[in-house]
Amino acid sequence: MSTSEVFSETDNGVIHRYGDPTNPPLLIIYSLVNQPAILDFSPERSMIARLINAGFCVYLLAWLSPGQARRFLSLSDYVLGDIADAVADVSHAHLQAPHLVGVCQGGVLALCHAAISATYPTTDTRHIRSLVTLATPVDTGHDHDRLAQLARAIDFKQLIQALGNVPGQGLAAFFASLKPFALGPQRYAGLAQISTATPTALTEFMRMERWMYDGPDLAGEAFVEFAQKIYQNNALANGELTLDSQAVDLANITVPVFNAYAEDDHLVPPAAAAGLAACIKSDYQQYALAGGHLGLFISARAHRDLYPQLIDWLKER
Amino acid sequence: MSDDSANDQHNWADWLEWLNTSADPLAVSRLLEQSAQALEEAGTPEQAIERLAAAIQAESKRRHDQGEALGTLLEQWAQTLLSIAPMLPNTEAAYRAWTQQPALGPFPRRQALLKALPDQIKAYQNALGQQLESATRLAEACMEAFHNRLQQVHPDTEPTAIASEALLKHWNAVAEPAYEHWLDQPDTQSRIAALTNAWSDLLGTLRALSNELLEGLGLPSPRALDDLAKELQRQRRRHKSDVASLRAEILALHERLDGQRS
Repeated sequence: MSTSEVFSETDNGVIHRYGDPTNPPLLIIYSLVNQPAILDFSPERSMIARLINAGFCVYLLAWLSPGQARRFLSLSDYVLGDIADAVADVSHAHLQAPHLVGVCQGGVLALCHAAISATYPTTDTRHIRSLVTLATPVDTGHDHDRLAQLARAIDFKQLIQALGNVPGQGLAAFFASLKPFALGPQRYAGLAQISTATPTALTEFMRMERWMYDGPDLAGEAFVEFAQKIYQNNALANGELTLDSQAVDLANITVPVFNAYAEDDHLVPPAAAAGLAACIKSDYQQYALAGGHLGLFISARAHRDLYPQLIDWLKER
Repeated sequence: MSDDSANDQHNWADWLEWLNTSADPLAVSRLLEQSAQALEEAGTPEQAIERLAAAIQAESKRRHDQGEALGTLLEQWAQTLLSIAPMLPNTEAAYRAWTQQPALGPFPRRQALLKALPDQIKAYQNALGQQLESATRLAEACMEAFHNRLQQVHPDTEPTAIASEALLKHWNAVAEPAYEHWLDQPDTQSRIAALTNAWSDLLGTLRALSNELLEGLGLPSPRALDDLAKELQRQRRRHKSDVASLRAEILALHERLDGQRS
């Protein structure tokens, strides 16, 4: 996989650096769910490799599993703490603001940072150069948003009081239960042909298997906040989200925004991602890719169509 | 010492052996066996008493038929038990009394948790039952659709003669959309939420009870770990805020020094 080194650490994450440190910086904020391995899945299907080869110095903020001692971490800790620190560290190292790329739930966190940091003085090192969101749920108020509909009547506070942190494997089982046949019998039926599969195909199968079912636990408090504010109250799209009393107003974002989503995404439906358009007042570009959630990162179509366009867009900023 | 012990063992063995012989004048062995069976089949304390009494009456009758005087005694015993039975609360009444009476005396918190438990178990089982029932109906509908699809696509072929890959493909084509449709129904979503909430309630109470138990034994409890985690979080945030203030002060000092130099 792509070669990286540990650049620095934040309170709850490790920042990995890929590529030439003299190139313009780009910082990826991954979701708190699952591992970022999907972004560097294989030599042919690596979003990180694409960005390195395009001439960016790529930084990846990889979250640490919270453990019971950090079950009360909130979204504020991640956004106002880790992400702000990571942006400042990268800016300091490059003497320029980085492009910020948010992936899935990480896109929500990146949007929060972009909206809040826009209110900081111009000399502040936590400013970003541009913002990219990939498969990011913004407007969850639609009837066909399955996750939002399932979340509507669940008492998440009570659930977390009983559970502590949300077990990563439990969450993986829940996501698999949304597509039980495609991810169950259909996926494993292919194992019958395993003896004739190439080593590469086998490695990729097992990498995907590990990625799907080996996610980190989620800090209970942050999970409740995300579920209640983003999914039950649709607070991000409604402009009602606050982090430590700081309002997250997406209309404040002044940097250019590139928003990409998948047309058949069952986790982040197109309407949820495309809802960002109505909230952004700055230069905004949207890209809809045919396919499902993961296709946005590893499909041949994404690497053929989406990434060249995204890279061109980044280079112009 | 060892001789005494050996003798004791011998005596007990003799005594137990005597129980197993036909020389069981009080019918203890047989009654124990019949009583155990009667109790196993009972659902409430009242039923248990009634079944026990019936077992004794049966034994009494058997002995009476055989001309044994003990039968009369057994009959009296059974009648006594039957007169007691109505005075015992049945499960439902006991449940109501248990859950509705206020917590009295010491340890009211523990009492409240124990009172909540039967209701929560009931609610969870009820929610689980409803969800399973609905899932079963979905599975049946999927099976029917699968059967129809096979008849449509392979009208002249026995299902057993169709390749397993093709069967799987047909099944997925039928079941996945049906499942997704089911998942999108407000009723299904309400049931899933009800099940999750009932499970959370039950788990929360069990966790609180285990806190009580562990803390009573002077051991670390989940609640104590939560307190520690909360305190850590508070300290982390205070530390973070202190560092941010210091950074701001350093920055201001730098700017002042730069201003003085120029």
